[in-house]
Amino acid sequence: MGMSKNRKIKVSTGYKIFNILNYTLLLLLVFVTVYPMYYIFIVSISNGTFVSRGDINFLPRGITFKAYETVFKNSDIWRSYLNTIIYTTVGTAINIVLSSLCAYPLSRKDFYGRSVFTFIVAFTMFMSGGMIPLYLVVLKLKLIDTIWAIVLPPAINTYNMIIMRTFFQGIPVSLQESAFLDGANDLQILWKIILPLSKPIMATMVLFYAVQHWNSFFSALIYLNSKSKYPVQILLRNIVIAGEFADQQTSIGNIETNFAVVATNYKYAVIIITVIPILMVYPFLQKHFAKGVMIGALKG
Amino acid sequence: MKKTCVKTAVLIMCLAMTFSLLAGCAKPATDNGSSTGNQTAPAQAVDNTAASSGKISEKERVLKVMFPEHPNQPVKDFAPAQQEIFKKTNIKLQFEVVPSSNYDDKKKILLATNNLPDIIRISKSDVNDYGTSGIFLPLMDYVRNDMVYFKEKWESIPDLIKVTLDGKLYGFPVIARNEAKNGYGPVIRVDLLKKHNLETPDTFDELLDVLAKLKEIYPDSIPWSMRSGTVKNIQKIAYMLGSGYGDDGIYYDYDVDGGRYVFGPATKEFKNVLSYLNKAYKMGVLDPDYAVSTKQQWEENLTSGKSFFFLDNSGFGLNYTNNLRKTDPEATFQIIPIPANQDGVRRAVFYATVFTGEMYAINAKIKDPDTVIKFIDWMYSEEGSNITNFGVEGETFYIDENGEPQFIADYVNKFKDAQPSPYYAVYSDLGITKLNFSLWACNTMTQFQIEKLTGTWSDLYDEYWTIVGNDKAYVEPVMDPPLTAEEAERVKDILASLNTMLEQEYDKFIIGVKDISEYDAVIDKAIEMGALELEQIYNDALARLQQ
Repeated sequence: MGMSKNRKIKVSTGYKIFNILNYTLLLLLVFVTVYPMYYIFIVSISNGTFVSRGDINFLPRGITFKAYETVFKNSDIWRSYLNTIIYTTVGTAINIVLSSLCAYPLSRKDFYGRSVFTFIVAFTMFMSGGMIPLYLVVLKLKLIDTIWAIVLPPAINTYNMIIMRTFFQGIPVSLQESAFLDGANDLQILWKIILPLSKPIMATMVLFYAVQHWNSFFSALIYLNSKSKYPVQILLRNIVIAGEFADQQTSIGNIETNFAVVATNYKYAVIIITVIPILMVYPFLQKHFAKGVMIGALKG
Repeated sequence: MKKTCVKTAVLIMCLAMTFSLLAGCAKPATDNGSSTGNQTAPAQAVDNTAASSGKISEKERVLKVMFPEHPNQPVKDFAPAQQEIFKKTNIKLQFEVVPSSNYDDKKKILLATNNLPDIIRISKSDVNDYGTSGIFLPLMDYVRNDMVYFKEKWESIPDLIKVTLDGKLYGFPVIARNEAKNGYGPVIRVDLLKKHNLETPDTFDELLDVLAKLKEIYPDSIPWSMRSGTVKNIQKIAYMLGSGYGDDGIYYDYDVDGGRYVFGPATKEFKNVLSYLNKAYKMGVLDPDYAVSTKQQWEENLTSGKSFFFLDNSGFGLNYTNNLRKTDPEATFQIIPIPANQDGVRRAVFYATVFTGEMYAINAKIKDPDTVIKFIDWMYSEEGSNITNFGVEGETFYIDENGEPQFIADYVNKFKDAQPSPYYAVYSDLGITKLNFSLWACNTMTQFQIEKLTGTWSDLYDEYWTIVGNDKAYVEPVMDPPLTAEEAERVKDILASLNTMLEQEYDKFIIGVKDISEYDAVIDKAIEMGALELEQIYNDALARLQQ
């Protein structure tokens, strides 16, 4: 889109107006998406007095990092942060391995009973047993209050697996046939031919699954009993949501004597801290991301 | 054609084999021990090291307790209070805390799958829903025969009978200890009243006049701000204006027929509530956005000096005063005595202080319930309550000459600058008070002591408590009587449709789209939809209990 000097085509006024409008609109859109994040950030570093008065608009006022100090002093946050990282890495690894192991056979036309298996797998997308049966299964498998209760039940996301399968289907069969002729077995084909050709979709899946684990909160809530195993989202949710209801009837039990930090600052500081890792990972995966999803979609 | 048939048959057989294999795998797991057997097994005597006599449990015993964790007061594992409990009773409390924001979700799953920890925090409605299912240990016999401290409380607070279901008790209520009483109340900028020579309003009509005058002086202001929607505000103000709302419209009125349940919005008196708010709205005194204003907007209005009055949790006034004084050292929000309503009556309700609705149930499958009951009883004793509300005697508190526990200043002052407040930090550090596991629990008593010790107490607080304490308008709230399962179901049905209809009406009358005379039609409709039946159900339940 660079402006080359020897461009011949004259730009018409209409086109110019269109461009101006277009850019204005898109800038507005950018503003609308970025501002909430930015707002959360500036509130988290502003003085509580200004925050509670609603005096913060575009710039932080009375800059203080007290909210962050308070957050970091809370040892629970660190522990649960570490838990989240563990759940995300272990969980995503399991997801990727199992999803590709499931997607690959289903992508092969010569797989016996393929349509039946595909149907059975797809069926789970629309019908599920519901919360209580799922809980009972996890309970009877003795997974309650272990990491496995968090990472095993969502081991394969059907939707993601189908995207993956579609992507695999797009890889020419002749490649697999020639590998087969060279003496490779199915696992070798998957490992040496299919996966190296599937980097975009793998990157996409890593992102999909990792975000899902990072944000997952309900399964941790119901399957985990020890506070020491809670992921950070549980803490976050408690701080953000319960803070809202704290005042209903606790009589006078809510006096905050020091207004350097009010609940809002604290909340927003925690939000920033929990969002940052995903924000940092995203730009690196983003180029694969768009590619991966699109390829899957087109060939589907 | 034939080939496909064979193929399908083979496939089905394959599947069948896989399933039978899976089933075979699953079976031993179930036989190994039913879910709860497994869950409670570690809770039983784990090792026999401490076998000293005289303690409640002969052997060291672990009890798992589940309760919600409030974000202001993080719960620690085996904090000093729990260590002290262990020392005295040989019972090791192991907490399973769940974020308070989602406590109900988790609790419901555990109740529905009958997979409870040893002791679980429940609410009164859980007793109605699950009491008859047999998952909670029935406690009445223990109370009569084995308990000393709790029995004493049970007998001295007759209202506690209302937590029973068909005469059976399924949970131990958390009883408040020495709680300062307050309730929703009117809070106004007294410094502005003084500055502009305005009298403290003595009636609700005068209140509007005063606010209107302030509006004249400060044309940009919104004198009266509200939060969290119309219904929540009607709940707060209706009783003062001679009607009432309770939580869902049904409330106990001391002044009707010597005291009975009334469905507030279906009475003539309720018109006073709506027309009063309508008057405030028309005069420009009430925030035009009152119906949609959030807590944050409300707070902004009050702490930026834009609003001068609120009728809500009156303790908030002290918070906002602190914040206002950063820019205006004179600014003061203070509660005023409840003004007289249009009938010349002053009335208001305290918050529920003795019993706040929280109970601890015991898993019906627990082993050796006698020891657990003995332990629970001890929790209601002076000793148990001191430990669960003040920590360790000699280290964090001492007993004063009146026999009352007092925090030790040296300990408390370590938390002088803690967030969100010194007292929450102390509570969290020690593992104490009603947000932790305590059955005879303190809240304001401990808070006041800590605030006085750390210097966060001010004269305004004394003034506040004096005004509330001297105000004769407040009455005790009445705990709802237990309903039978059918009654509860019926109430739910009626309320669902009734409140949907009513909640659409209120704003029309407050904003003035409809004239108040048209409210009679709404009353008729409410009665047609079962408002009187509701009253009947509650009054019958109350009568049944009194027999």
